[in-house]
Order: sequence, then structure tokens, then C-alpha cells
Amino acid sequence: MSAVAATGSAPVARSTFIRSPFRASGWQVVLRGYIGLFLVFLYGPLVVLFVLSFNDSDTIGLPFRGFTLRWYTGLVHQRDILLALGNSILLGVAVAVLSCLLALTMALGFRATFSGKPLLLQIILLPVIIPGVVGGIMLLIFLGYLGFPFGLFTSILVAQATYVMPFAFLTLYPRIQGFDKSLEEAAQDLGAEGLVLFRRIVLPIIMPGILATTIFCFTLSFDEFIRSVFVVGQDATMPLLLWSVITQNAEPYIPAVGVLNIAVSAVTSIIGFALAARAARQPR
Amino acid sequence: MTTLAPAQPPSDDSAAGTAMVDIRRLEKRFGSAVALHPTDLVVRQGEFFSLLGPSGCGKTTLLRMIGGFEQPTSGDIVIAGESVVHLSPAKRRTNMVFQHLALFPHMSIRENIAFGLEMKRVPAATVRSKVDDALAMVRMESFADRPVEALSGGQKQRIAIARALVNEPAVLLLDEPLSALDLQLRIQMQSELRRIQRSTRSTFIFVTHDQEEAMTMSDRIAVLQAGHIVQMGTPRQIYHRPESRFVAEFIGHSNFLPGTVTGLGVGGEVRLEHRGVSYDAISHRPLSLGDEVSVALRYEAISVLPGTDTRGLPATLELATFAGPTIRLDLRLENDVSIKAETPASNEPPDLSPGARFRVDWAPTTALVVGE
Ligand SMILES: Nc1ncnc2c1ncn2[C@@H]1O[C@H](COP(=O)(O)OP(=O)(O)OP(=O)(O)O)[C@@H](O)[C@H]1O
Ligand SMILES: [Mg+2]
Repeated sequence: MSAVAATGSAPVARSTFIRSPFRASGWQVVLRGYIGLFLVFLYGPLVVLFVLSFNDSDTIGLPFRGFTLRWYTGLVHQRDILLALGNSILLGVAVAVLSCLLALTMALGFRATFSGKPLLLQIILLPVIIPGVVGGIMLLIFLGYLGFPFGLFTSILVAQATYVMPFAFLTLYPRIQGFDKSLEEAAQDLGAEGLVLFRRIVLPIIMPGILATTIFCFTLSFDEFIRSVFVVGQDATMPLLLWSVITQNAEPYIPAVGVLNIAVSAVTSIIGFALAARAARQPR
Repeated sequence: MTTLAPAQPPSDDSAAGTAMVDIRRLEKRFGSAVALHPTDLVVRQGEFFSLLGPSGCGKTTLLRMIGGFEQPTSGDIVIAGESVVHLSPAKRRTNMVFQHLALFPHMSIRENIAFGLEMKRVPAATVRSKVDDALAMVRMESFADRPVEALSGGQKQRIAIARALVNEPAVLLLDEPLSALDLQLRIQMQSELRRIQRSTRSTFIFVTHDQEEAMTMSDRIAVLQAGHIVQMGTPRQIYHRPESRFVAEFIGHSNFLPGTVTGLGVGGEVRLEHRGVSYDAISHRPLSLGDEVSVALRYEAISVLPGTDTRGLPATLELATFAGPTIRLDLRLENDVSIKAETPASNEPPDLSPGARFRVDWAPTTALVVGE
């Protein structure tokens, strides 16, 4: 009897204490609508691209005229596409390794105290705030004056590495800054010095961070466009090729290439996360 | 003028045994701040030596200079007969147990302990047997192949000690290695450390700010205050003969009673007077009649007697606090000086209401005239 009375009184108490200024149902409709729109614009293009890449139609667009794999299989004969993909991957690896190494040495150097450190930090991070277009034009002029050869592993490498390096530095620096100095002291205490200390103690511990940074740099390089376009030579990267294809004539295989690009990025990220996770668990 | 010859302190502070660490006029400044004033210190072979003092007094700085992690501003450090100030930590015959242990997180326990030996290019078979011995010494044999994070605080502690000791250092340096542990584990690790030190006969320099810990573990203690060693001696010497008010305050709980010297005996006995109340104390320093002094008197050195007793001085109870094994009594003497006494709970007086009348008494030898 009393239990019934107690449960009966509970909703009354709740409604008097928690009184929303909005009518709950109306507010929820707005929220749901917002989230719905957000998801549509986030994933809608992706779904459309994916669907179109299997569309058996010679023009890009709906209606869906039937399922085909021919845009994918056909890519085997698109030498320039395959070449650009290969270029982008190789370049991405080169840019990632180069900028990561540079960022790592700088971050290590930044652990020491020296005069002008804050200023140097600003200088290193400056490229981040330079708009891409301006950066590209600057490089075009600068490299032109120098008579620097324009090409994939020359001018584009320089353009991308200078752009990617600050990001690598920004992700590595806090990890290295936060490295427990007493671990190094303990290693010194036990007889390790110099390179041995770095290789046996520091490197394995910061390895997950380095791997994650390298992967991040790769993806930055993989879809870098604006700077590269100013200093391009004979060979194109994937974004550059796609740009020229799409501005000349929209080939029907473009959605398939898009999906392929997404696949490369996704696979890289997955590998990166897996490596980082494994390194964190068992680095040796 | 009547001057009293100071009572001689027992002379086991002089350098008996061979010096393992000889610190000469060692000084450390950070900019204009002095972390350690020029200090002399000898730690003997096989000794458990503690550096004791409050936070910021320079204990860690001194220890880190011995280990080579801090460069002295001036002075010399001689370890086993060799000056080491120009040597890097890797080249010194010292090993350190760090406050936060600093075990290598990416290595197993065995790899952690083996690291020092590997750096010295000890053959693998020898490394293996030495690591096994070290693990046995800290009673962690069954944990060899676990990762570091699979250990409890006390277990990590043992591994850090094993990792240092396996290198057979001339001196083991320990910077408050037990401060992160809970009380139970701490007490257990204290006796463990002592056992290990005895069985390996190595020289330990142990930093702590816990006077009880220093007391129970050490052969000798150096008490530091603001970058100075203010007293050095065995735990008994430091406890029974604090040379300054600072040491008396830092070690245990003491009352400080004011008084004017009104009488002097040949053995260091002193009669003191303060606002009509007279009492006896002892001095290990020369005093003259009329000197204003301060007397350190430990809470537990005071006997609390019934008000009807004839011995001691009359006192009025202000507050009684139950503390488990003991009862703390806050009393006031007739000269309005407050005095605290600690008496075993088994000896609890029947009336503990404020205002109750008691008499307090102490052996004159436990009331020590101290300098400021
Ligand atoms: N790297 C440094 N730069 C400037 N001052 C320092 C540095 N290291 C220590 N000090 C100063 O030197 C003094 C002694 O420090 P130290 O670390 O030796 O104290 P401690 O006795 O170990 O104290 P705690 O018990 O808190 O560890 C302190 O006043 C401290 O602020
Ligand atoms: Mg310290």
C-alpha cells in the first residue's frame, strides 16, 4: 500500500524539480534535425561517390543504371592514374620520413634551454599560418630564382616537407617534452650514454608517437594540392592528376579513383593506429 | 664568572672505519640561491647513512651531486679514494634508486635489472645468473618476465633496488624511495632495505624527510637545515643530544621551556628559574649564571603524577587527547608556561577533566639546554 503511494508520488516530485525552459519534445526535434543534417553532409558525399563508382553509366551522375566493376578494373589500363598513385605513395613516404626526422631532431634539441628559444619556436611554426596559395607562389618564385629543378622528389618534396614539418613538430614536441627525464638519468646511472641511451631508452618509449606522427604526415602529403600545384614538374601526384582530369573532361572512372584514394588513406590510418597500439604494448 | 665545562659527547662520530664517500667543502648554488653551503661529510664503508631534513633543505641536491646528476659549484667528492666530480654518472661507482623509481616501462623486469650489466658488456650467462641472484635478494624471483606495469608499488620498489644493486655499486644512493608507499608497506620495505644492506654490506646513502624512518634504519644520520648539516651522529646521539632547537623540534616532539640559569653543577647540571618556578636540566655547552636559555624536553620524558604527589612541579590540565597507545596531556605550569606530556594509555589518570591538578616530573638528564 505504502509502496504504491511512494511510486505514485515520484513523478510529481520530478516534474516540480526539473523544469526545462524549453518544451522537451520541440527541443529534441531541433536537435535531431541538426544531427541528421550534419550526418547527411558528412557522409552523404561519401555514399554518393561510393555508389557512383559502381554505376554502369558513361557519365558521372544518377540515375543508377546497374552495377558494374568496370571502372575499377579499367583503372589497370589507366597508366597515368596508376603512376600518379605510385608517385603519391612514394612521395608521401619520403615526405613523412623526412619531416618526421627533422621534427624529431628539432624537438630533441628543444629540450635544452638556450636563448632565443621562443623566437625559434615561432619561426618553425610560421609555415602553418602562411596561406597555401601564398606559400605556393613564394616557393615558385624562390625555387625559380635558384634554378631549382622542378619535379616530384625535388620541388614538390621541398614544398610538402616544409608544409608538413611544423605539424610533425607540433605532434612530437609535447611527447618529447613530456618524456620523463628521470628515465634518462636512470639509464645514465646504469652506464648508458649518448646514442646507446637514445636507442635503448628514449627511442622505444617515444616510438608510438613517432609512428603516429609519420602516418599523420603521410596523409597530409597524400592529399596536399595547393602548394604542389605551383611547383609541379613532369610527374603528377594523385591530387594533381585528378585536378587536371576533372578540369579537362570529367572521366567516368573518377568516382572509382576517389574511392581508391579514400581506401589508401583509410588503410594507412588503420595500419598507423595498429602499429602505434602495438608499440605502446610491446615496443621491442 | 662561573663557567661550566661541557659534558663530552660519546666519540663515535670520529672517522672510524674506511671512508667510502669523502665530501670536501662541497657547495651548490642555483644562480644566487644556495642549495648547499660548503659541506664536509664522510660516509664509511658498509654504513647505512641518512640525510634527513625538511623539504627544500638540499638533501636531493647533495645526493644528485654524489651520483653525478648535478655539477657542484665548488668542492670535491671522493668515492673509494678517487675524485669523481669530473665523471659522468655512467662512469661513477654509484647507483641510484630514484624517488619515482624510473623503471623502464618498455622492458620486462628481467630486462630492467639486466640493463646495467649489459651496458658494462658482461657476458650473457653471467648477466642471467646475477639477475637471478638480484631477484632472489629482493624476493621477486617469480616476477622476472612480467612487464613493469604488472607490479604493485612495493614490488616496483624492490625491482628498482635490485636494478641498482645488481651492479654492485660502491655506494647506493636512495632518494626518498619509500615516500610513495602506504604506511604498512613502508614499514615492511624499511626492514627489507635494512636486511639487504646488511647482507650485501654495501654503503647506502638514504635521503628522507621522515625522522622516524631515518631513526629506525640508519647507522648514522646527518640532519640538514637550509643547506647546512646542522648535526651528524648516530640515531641515539641525535635523539638524546639534539644540539639545536631545530634538531630537537625536528626529531620527535619536544617542549621548549624558557629559563634563567641560577645554578651550575660540575657535571653539566643546571638549575633554572622562570617566573618563580625552578627546575633542573643538563647542558652540554658552557653556560654562565644569568644566561637566558631554552630547554628541550620530550613529551614522553615527562612523568605525570597525581596532584597529591610531592615530586615535580604542580600543573593544571587543559586538554587530554587519546592517541591509541598514548595519551597526550596539555598542561600549564604555575608560571603560565604550557607543557605537553605523553603518557602510556595503560597509565591513564582517572580524572582527565580540564582543570584537574597534576604534578609533572622529569629526570634532569632528559631536559637539555639547546642553542637556537
Ligand atoms: N634545478 C634547480 N634550480 C634552482 N633551484 C633548485 C634546483 N634544484 C633545487 N633547487 C633549490 O635548492 C634547494 C634544495 O633543493 P632540494 O631538491 O635539494 O631539496 P630537498 O631537501 O631534496 O627537498 P624535498 O624534501 O622537498 O625533496 C631548494 O630551495 C630548491 O628550490
Ligand atoms: Mg628531494
